[in-house]
Amino acid sequence: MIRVEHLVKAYPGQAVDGGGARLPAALRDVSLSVGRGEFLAVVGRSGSGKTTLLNILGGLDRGWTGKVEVGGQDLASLRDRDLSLLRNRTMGFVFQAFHLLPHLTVQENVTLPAWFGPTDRDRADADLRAREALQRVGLLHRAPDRPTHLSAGERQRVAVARALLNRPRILLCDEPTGNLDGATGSAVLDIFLELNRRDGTTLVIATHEPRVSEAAGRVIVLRDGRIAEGTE
Amino acid sequence: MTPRAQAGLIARFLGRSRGHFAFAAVGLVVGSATLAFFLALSLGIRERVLNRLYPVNQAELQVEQVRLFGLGMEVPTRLDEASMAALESLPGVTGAYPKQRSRFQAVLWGGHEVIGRDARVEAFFDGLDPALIRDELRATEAEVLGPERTGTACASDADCGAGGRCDAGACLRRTLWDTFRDPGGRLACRADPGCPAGQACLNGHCGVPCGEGCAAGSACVQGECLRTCATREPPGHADGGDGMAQPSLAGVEVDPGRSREPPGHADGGDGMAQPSLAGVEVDPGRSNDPCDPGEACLGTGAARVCRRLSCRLDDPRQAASDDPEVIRGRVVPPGDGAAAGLPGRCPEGTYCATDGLLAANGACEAPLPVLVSPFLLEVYNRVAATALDLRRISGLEVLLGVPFAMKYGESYFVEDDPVAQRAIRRCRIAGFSPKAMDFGFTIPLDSARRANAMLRGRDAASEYTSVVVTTARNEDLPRMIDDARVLGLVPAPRSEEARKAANMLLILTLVFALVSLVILGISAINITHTFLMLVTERRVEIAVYRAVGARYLDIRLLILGEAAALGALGGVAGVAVAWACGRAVNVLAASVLGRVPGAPSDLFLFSPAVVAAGLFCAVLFALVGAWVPARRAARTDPATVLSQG
Ligand SMILES: Nc1ncnc2c1ncn2[C@@H]1O[C@H](COP(=O)(O)OP(=O)(O)O)[C@@H](O)[C@H]1O
Ligand SMILES: [Mg+2]
Repeated sequence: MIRVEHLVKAYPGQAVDGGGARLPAALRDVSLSVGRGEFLAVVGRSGSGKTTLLNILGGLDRGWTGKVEVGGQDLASLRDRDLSLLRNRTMGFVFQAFHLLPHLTVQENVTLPAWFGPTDRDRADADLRAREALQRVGLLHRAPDRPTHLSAGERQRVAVARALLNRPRILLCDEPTGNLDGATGSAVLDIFLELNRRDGTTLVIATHEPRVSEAAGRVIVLRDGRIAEGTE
Repeated sequence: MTPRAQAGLIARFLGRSRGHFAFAAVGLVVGSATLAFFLALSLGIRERVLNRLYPVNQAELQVEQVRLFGLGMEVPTRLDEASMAALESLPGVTGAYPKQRSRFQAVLWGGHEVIGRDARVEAFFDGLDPALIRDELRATEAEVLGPERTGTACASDADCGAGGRCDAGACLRRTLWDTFRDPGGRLACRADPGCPAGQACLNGHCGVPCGEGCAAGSACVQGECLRTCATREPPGHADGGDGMAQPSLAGVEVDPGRSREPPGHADGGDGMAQPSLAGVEVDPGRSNDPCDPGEACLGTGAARVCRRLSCRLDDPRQAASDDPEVIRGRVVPPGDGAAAGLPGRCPEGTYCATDGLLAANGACEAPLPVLVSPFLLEVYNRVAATALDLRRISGLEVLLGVPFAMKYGESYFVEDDPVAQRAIRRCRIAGFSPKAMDFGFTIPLDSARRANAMLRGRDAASEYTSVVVTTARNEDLPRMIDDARVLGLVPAPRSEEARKAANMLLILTLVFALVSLVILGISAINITHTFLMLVTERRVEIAVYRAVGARYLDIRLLILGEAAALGALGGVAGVAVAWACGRAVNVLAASVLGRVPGAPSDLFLFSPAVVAAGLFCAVLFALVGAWVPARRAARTDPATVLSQG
């Protein structure tokens, strides 16, 4: 499903080789592959490059070298249009900071990906799909509310529902429980597990929480932009 | 992202940032309002003022004046029928309509119906080809009197008021524009040079000689070509068994014996001694077609022709009477004694136009239809009425149909003509046109030619003062003017003025258009600022859009679409504001200028093109203003924005 070879990402001001007075690159020669239906946890300390890796996998970040294939497509060779389609159809994103739009209702937030689909049909049954997705995260009753009226845990579940709207095969989650307390974090984690087990959704979750990595099928550890260890 | 989805999102965007947008749109509204306002004003003035004077495909030409030491000296060019033919053969020219000034002194009096007492002034007039002005007169009349079809149902003409007609169950009001044509008249003469060109002195009056034959629709009677006519016969009266039935008119005695003569005898050369003048139809109205008012359809069968009725006043001084009955005089039967069937007096609507002040004899004639310049009315109302304490003329409609009289050959300025050559003629106001003489009035060309021939002879009646030339396309006009120069003809001052005014208007329009474009430019900068701010405010939102599948182009189009919508709203508001300002200016102009006769009640013309220009420019400048912000929005890096907790 995902294949990464010799991925190098240097932000402006970072040296690719990590030498001299400059900071080392955010990702240094990362190679990995994630199979269909796999649940991969990316762990590592803050600043180790987890977010950077996920952004690249999700096609949100284009300035890197190496080879990244998602769903059989070489991200480097995709034009903006196709990459956008890939984000819209194949992948779902969950961020640590939720990023729900405060001026839209919960329902509208979840429907958002449908607006950017390539056909008008995308929006035809969007409301129905949004309700399904909300049902999955157990928040159907909050559909007409504004996200600002929701608790942190509920917000993240709405964000998950938004990521699920187009039934993506891959879900990329960047510290999804980072802003949640124990109980609500578990609830979100349960949703991920169920998605992975029941629907076979490929999961890549960046986290530094042991309970998430413990639940994962495989864990890789990033340290200063390199894969320090990986377990099968 | 589909266009529909775009539109949906844009609508949401707009609603959300109402405050910012309202502020950003102010410049657009002001700019497009200014643009639409001045374009509409310019167009209105062009269409409703200038083009009335001279449409863009017309120019008035006159003989070139060569100025020598400040003296106007005419080069020896004559503007006559030959010049007309030369002009008409120029490329692009569709018509040449000559004008002829009066070439003799005259005074007029009348008008007590509208101003309280009779005005007595020097009379200047010119003659104009009615064909040039007919459509315009009709339109002006409809503005003053309302549509011709009044919308009232009717069963007969009587239901439709004075002068009205019943047509297919609906009333047609009285019309005057169609009366602006030469009503005809008899011009007494002694020799051919006393008649207009093309006519000869026949039987003591001017007429078209038969020569090699008469034109279609006319027949030769006693050496003169006269229009043929066939009076309609009331149904059921076509009896008599001889196939030569006569119209039986109430009060008209028909002598069946005399009318049984074969029609071939009609121009037998034995003078009027024919019994063929019996059938007379005296109605001067439409049923007299094709005879002019004051004429009668006389003769038998196919040889019936229009003959002007001779008349006589008891006393020559009665010609100056104000009594419409008195001036109708008595109809004099022709020398052949064919009195039967002739009306006793000149038909209703005509008067006995005597051959001169000393003459009691004359012919029945309808008053000359007269066009007045709205400008003259303005001068009267503003200057004369105040200074002379006369009643103001409230509007054009009160003047329509007003009669007055002219005395040819008299003057307040120069010596009068010999009394025998002076004559009195009646006139009636038939309409208004800026093309009418400013200080004077305008009558049909043929009427003016007849008057000039009467007082000054053939030569005076065959030379024109100016000619209005029409071209097929506006672009043909400059070339036509160049070509005409070769013929010794140059644009008349008034035509030239109209062209200069049009050019001036064009320049002013351009200046104000430029001003409004500057305003729009400033508002574009304002929009850039507003949108940059909004784009920054919405960084997260835009990044989320990108994360869930929005393309680079989608974001750009979203912002541009928003700007376009804002521009369209601003444009609509701007045009609406311009329109409202136009109304206000109209009201203001009306109250300041008073009711200037002929001045357009609406100075503005919000044509579809003007509205489109206002909208288009507003949208265009909104797009220009949003161009950079849209790019910046599209370049928002979702990775950076969304990774920040
Ligand atoms: N937008 C950025 N510009 C410059 N440096 C960045 C940016 N984002 C992250 N970095 C740097 O790249 C490294 C990896 O960061 P990140 O991927 O966010 O790590 P993590 O998500 O594991 O905390 C860090 O050293 C961080 O300072
Ligand atoms: Mg991170």
